[in-house]
Amino acid sequence: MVLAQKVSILGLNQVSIVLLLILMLGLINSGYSQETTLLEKNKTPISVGLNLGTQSLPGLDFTLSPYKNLNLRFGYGFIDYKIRDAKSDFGRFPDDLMLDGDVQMSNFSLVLERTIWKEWIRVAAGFGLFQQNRFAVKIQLANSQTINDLELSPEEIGYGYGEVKWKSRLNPYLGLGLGRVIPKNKWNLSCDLGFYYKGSPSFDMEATNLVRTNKRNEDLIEEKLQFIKWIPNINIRISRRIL
Amino acid sequence: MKNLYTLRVSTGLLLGLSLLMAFFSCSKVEDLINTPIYVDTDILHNALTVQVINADGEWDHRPSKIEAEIIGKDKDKIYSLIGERKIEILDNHLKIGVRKIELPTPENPLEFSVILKAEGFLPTVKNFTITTDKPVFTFMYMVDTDNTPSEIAVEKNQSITNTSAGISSDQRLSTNLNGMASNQVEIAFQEGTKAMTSNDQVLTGNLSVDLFSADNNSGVAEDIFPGGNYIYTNNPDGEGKIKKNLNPAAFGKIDMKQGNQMVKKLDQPASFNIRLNQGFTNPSTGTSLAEGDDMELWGFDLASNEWTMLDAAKVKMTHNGLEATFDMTVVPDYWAVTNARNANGGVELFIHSAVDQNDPDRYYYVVIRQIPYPDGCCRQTIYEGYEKMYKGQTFFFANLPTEGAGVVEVYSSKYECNDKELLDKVLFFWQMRPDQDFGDYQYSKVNIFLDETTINSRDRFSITVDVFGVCSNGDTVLRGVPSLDLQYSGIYCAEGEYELLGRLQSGVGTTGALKPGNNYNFYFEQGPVSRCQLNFPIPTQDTTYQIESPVYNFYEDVFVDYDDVNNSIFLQWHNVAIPQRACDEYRQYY
Repeated sequence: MVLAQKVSILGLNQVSIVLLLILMLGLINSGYSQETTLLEKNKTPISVGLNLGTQSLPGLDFTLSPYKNLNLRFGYGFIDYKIRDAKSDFGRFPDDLMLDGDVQMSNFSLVLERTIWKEWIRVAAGFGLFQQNRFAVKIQLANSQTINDLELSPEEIGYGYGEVKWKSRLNPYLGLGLGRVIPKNKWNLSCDLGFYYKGSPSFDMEATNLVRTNKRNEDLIEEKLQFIKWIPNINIRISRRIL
Repeated sequence: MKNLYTLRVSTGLLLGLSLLMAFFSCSKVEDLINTPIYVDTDILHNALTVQVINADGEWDHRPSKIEAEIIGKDKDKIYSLIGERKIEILDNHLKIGVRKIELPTPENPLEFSVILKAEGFLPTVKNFTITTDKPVFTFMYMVDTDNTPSEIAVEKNQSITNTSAGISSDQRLSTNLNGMASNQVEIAFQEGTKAMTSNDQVLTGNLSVDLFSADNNSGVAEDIFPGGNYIYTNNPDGEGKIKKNLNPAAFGKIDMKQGNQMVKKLDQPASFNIRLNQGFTNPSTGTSLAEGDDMELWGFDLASNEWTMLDAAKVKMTHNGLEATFDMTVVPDYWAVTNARNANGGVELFIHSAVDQNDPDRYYYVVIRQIPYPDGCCRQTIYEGYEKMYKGQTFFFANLPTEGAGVVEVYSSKYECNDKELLDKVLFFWQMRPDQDFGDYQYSKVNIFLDETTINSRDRFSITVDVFGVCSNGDTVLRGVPSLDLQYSGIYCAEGEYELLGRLQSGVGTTGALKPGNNYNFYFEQGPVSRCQLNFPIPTQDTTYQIESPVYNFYEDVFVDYDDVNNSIFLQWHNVAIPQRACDEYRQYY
């Protein structure tokens, strides 16, 4: 309860925390009830990994396996991805749009994994502590438009800028891992599929010149964005066993 | 086996969750992309509104079917409010739009000229230097050739016998300038003088001449002087045009023609003699005109908006008083006698008043004139228009003489029917000082302190309007385009004697000019359509307005909350269901 309160201060939904804790404890308990045994301290397998994916371009992790079939992974993922002057009509608009986009996310993660089939398939649960947590996009017309005798440049018409943020910095994670997280020998390749629960996103909008009245869409778009409370974590990981 | 079971359950759960999210995402993303996009139709900044009226001030005598032409350095930046090059004049209002990214400043002013022509009226031109991003509302005056104001002398249909050998005998045409014989212009043509068109075609038939003349002693003359308080002339030292202040002792128009062919040149000079008003201050000396002073005859070409000095002469004292005689080999559209000065001075007026910029709109009719003064010269309207005169408001006037005197006159309204009253009159002086320059211009900075008793925002009843409509397709929001000027008048005013009430910016505006319990006439223009609402009452309690337009099959009740505690009405009228026909017409123009 104390933990839940502390966490909720960081903005995390209490119900989701409780559910996650139950799930984690259940996994651990089920692990103990099966064949998990404490490994000798000096033989605890450890690996380091480099991963690339939707939450990490790149990411690093450090994984140890204190119990057989149970892994504890500490990771750091970082994305600072920018798109500039991408031009497209997106298959639906009468004219090309010019798009600039920023994705800035970085997080420290702590994930507990339970192997469920020959160490090749794992279920995972944990948390990510996000320092950066935003998507932003700026859209404006790519070409000038003519209205009567007046040619309006894209700059005159203006742009719309939107930024999606999540207040919650500590986010629970649920996922599935494919491949060994600690290589049997030196190197191996694995992947993770999962989701962070981010909670309700907030949306800030800016609009200028002739499209400035779209500012009034801010609340509507924020409402429509509520479906992205979960964001995917799909990555490919290359790892090396160091112990 | 148990592991396999766990695997299946976990994988199934995760896969299901993923599919569910993918499904939701696709439809939700589609929904997100389909968010309506609003494109504001407020494309241009309404930099200038000009009301075109008769020089006699009577709205009923106003010109009709006026054609406007924009010329000058920045003419390519000028559009109608719907983005067209051709600017139509609707209900005697000329509205000029400029791109919002080209908002003028004192350092980067917008310079252009407006030429107006209307059947039965003298053509006229006014030069504008816009230095503010605030909309300017001003006036241009036209002279009815058959009913001229008393300040303008007219001699029409004078005849000159002319053959292929030229003018058949010495001919003298004369007109007085102000009804007094002491002020007179006489143009003398020698026998044999050949009259030619601008293409050097010699005219061989009898000539008809109309003369319109005025001296410098009337407000009407100030209002109609071609160009306004500064004019353009060729740069004698290089290319391009320079600006000068003519401040004429007298000026006039010569219409000399054979049929429809205008006389523009003479093969030998005519004598242009003028008896000058002794009260005229010589612009170059700053003292009353005296014998031996230099004077110049200038001629104006309307098509190019260019004045040219035709001749110079010394003032002589004769038995008729002060006279000057010039040679004239061209017949200009307008003439002026003066001693021109370079227009490289200016003044910045900084307003001190009891009105705050954010107070509800209440526009005063403001006239700023250059006035004769021992250290200055001349009489000329520098600016005329509607202004809030709020604390901190500034006026930049470029293209003035390097020094001079002026007066700011603030009236409650322009028209007598709206209880016109002079609220304040403040004198000011300016002098070019090198330490006060803004780019190419030299400004004097002058503080104008207005009477806080007569010009204030106390006891203003505030009426706020916030209105926008939505077309039936839901994706188009209509608001006032661009900034919509609302005009009003008292119900006893003649039709058209509207004054500026306030400005709706994107459909929102507040006025403090109206009094509850009074009825008013209202007028506004949107695109090519003007609308008026006559005898409209301002309520003194909660009420319901019935807005109706049978043309568009539009009827709606608007409920008005009267707030007697705060002395205000707030009229918020959103999402007005605009009939499709009105929307279609709107889209046609915007």
